[in-house]
Amino acid sequence: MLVLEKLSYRHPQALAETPPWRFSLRAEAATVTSISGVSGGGKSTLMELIAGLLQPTSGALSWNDQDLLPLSAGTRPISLLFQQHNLFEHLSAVDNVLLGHKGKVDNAARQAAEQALADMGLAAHVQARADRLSGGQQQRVALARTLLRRSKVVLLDEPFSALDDDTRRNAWPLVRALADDHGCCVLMVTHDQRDCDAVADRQLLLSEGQLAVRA
Amino acid sequence: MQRPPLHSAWPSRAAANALPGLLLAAGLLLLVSALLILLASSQPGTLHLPNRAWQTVRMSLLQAGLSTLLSLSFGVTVAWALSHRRQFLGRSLLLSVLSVSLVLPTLVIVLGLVSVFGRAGWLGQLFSALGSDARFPLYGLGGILLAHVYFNGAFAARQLLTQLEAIPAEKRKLVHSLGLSPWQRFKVMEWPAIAGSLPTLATTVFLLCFTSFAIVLVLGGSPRYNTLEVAIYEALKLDFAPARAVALALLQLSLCALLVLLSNLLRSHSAQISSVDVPHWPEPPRVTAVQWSIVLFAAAVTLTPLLAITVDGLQAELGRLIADPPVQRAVLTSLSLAAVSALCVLLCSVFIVRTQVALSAPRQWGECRFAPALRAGIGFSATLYLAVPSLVLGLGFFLAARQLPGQLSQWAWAALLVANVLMALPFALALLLPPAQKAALRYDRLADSLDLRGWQRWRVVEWPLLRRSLGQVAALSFCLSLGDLGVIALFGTADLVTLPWLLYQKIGSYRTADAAGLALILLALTLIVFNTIPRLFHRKYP
Repeated sequence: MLVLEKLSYRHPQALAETPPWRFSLRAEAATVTSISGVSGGGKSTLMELIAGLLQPTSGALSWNDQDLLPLSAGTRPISLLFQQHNLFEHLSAVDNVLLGHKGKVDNAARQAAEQALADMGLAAHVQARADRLSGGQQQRVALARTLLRRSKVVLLDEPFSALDDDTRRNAWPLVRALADDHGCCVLMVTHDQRDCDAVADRQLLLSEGQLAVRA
Repeated sequence: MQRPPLHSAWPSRAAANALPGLLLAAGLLLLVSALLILLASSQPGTLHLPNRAWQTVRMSLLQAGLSTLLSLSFGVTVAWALSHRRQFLGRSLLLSVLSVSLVLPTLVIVLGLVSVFGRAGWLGQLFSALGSDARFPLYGLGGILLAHVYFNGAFAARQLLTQLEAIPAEKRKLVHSLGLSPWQRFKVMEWPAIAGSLPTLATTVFLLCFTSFAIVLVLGGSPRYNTLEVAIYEALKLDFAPARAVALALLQLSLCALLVLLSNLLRSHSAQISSVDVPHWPEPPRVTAVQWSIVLFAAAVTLTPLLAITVDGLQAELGRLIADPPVQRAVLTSLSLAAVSALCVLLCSVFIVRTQVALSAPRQWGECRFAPALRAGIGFSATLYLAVPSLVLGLGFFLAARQLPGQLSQWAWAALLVANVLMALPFALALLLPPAQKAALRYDRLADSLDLRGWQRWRVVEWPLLRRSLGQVAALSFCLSLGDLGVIALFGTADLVTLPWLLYQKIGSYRTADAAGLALILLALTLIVFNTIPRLFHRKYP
């Protein structure tokens, strides 16, 4: 279980009288939790705090009782996906996925990467350069990299905002599969209620750093 | 079926936008072509290359190749280190020096390098104190390479740092969240961000070093290290052999034109969105140590010559120098020439950029089959200086002046002005074109729909978006002109003396103290102008 206990953060440019944000949250493995809220409410900050890209001022963060705060971003069992810029455009799909592999890239790693791409329906695009892929395909390559990393926590920061309606609908089952088939704990920031309704087990609302269950 | 143009005023509107720039570019091409034809026909039947010409070409290619390699290596390493070391005392100063390096007067920096790396310089004294006889070989290839790296390495570092800082924040977060090593990060994220601009940068640096004049003249030490540019100067000024000078000039022109064509082919149009507020993550201690070492090395190399110029200059009799009428005349001449040049560069670059933007707009010219040829022509005229070095141009003016009525010094003004404008134009366009294209892409449709045109369009749309870049263009062209020692080396007389020419004369007559004082005055003028002019173009908010 992913646990955040009063994980606090103050934006460097916040006014002195503004209280710091304090996030508390519990999310089970094999579930999808959606987080929505107004712009500037702290959604992306929350994702980056969990991923280790920002340092909290106080509080606790753990996964299955393992304290994550001493770990640097790259060593946490966490994958973070953004709305865009998730891939290196000059690399092939499989090379992008292989960036999620720790250690020497051998045949076994390459096969695992190709399998992850196949799981995402991209078996025919293994060698395609990332910039030749559509927006939806690029997001699937990024998800395949998540599978290869065997991350137990997947953070999706508005993953569907840049996609058209059809591609968005096709991506929903893939996110669901991360939880159902691979046992991941998925936290998904989104502005779109359709995303929440389609994939989330639990819907949370974030406002001024306070998380609440959406009615 | 052919689509009708979107605007009823087409094509008159498009032509009106493109015409001034096209005429200007054609005028520049015609003027330069006329001078070159004059050059070629001036000594019919007597054109011959001296025996040493090919050795000079070989040496020019060798030093330019090595200078380019070293400058880019310096640039890449320093840009990489600075992109990771974002906060430290003196970072802004270091960045300012890197930015201003290209426009610093060559002779002044050469004097600074002599003070630091010369036989009796600071480094030599340090070696002596340590009991070593080792000295940096400043006169010869070593000195030429050092000076070229000072100017071009710093220029490359500043350009590449901009590219690295433009990497989207998401990409930085991604590599960090993937736990990539510093080497992997460089390979997948940083190298691709700069690799696209390296060929163009390399060709520009190569051309600048290939046609290097003042540095080779002062630090070359012997004819063995002459570039073609210096050989032309020597043929004309020392041996008075115009036929040899013309032959060398034509050889240089052919080689440079080839390189400019190559440069135009390699030009990249990549643009990234600037990242903002990227947090800084801790690096492994070993990597941090390497980055700090590079930053300290870059600071030592770039700042010590400036410090040496200041220390030496303050020891000169500055009061007497400033009160000296020839110095005052030289300052006045240099400032007037630089101001007129800057104004001409501003006008030329605005007209040419507007034409380039108009010719690139598919809505206006997309269906005109001449548009690509016109674009290529105007692009070539803009990079003309890189193909026609100022000394070659000066030689053309020199020969024209001998055939025309009037005194040589009257023609010298025109020659200096044209050479200064052409020298600054490629850099001015590089600064102005990207924001102009961005402005057009963003606001053209809106401006058309509101029927904004002419002066109103310039005032409402272009001026607010381009004013900052125009300030940079003005400062750059002013400073380049202020410190130039190219054409003036051919035309300099007792009546026409610029500050760099006066400085060169003082060095030549071993008036070391006066030279140090003049160098400080020239450096101070350059730094003041480079920092002041852009402020005049900034918007003042209440």
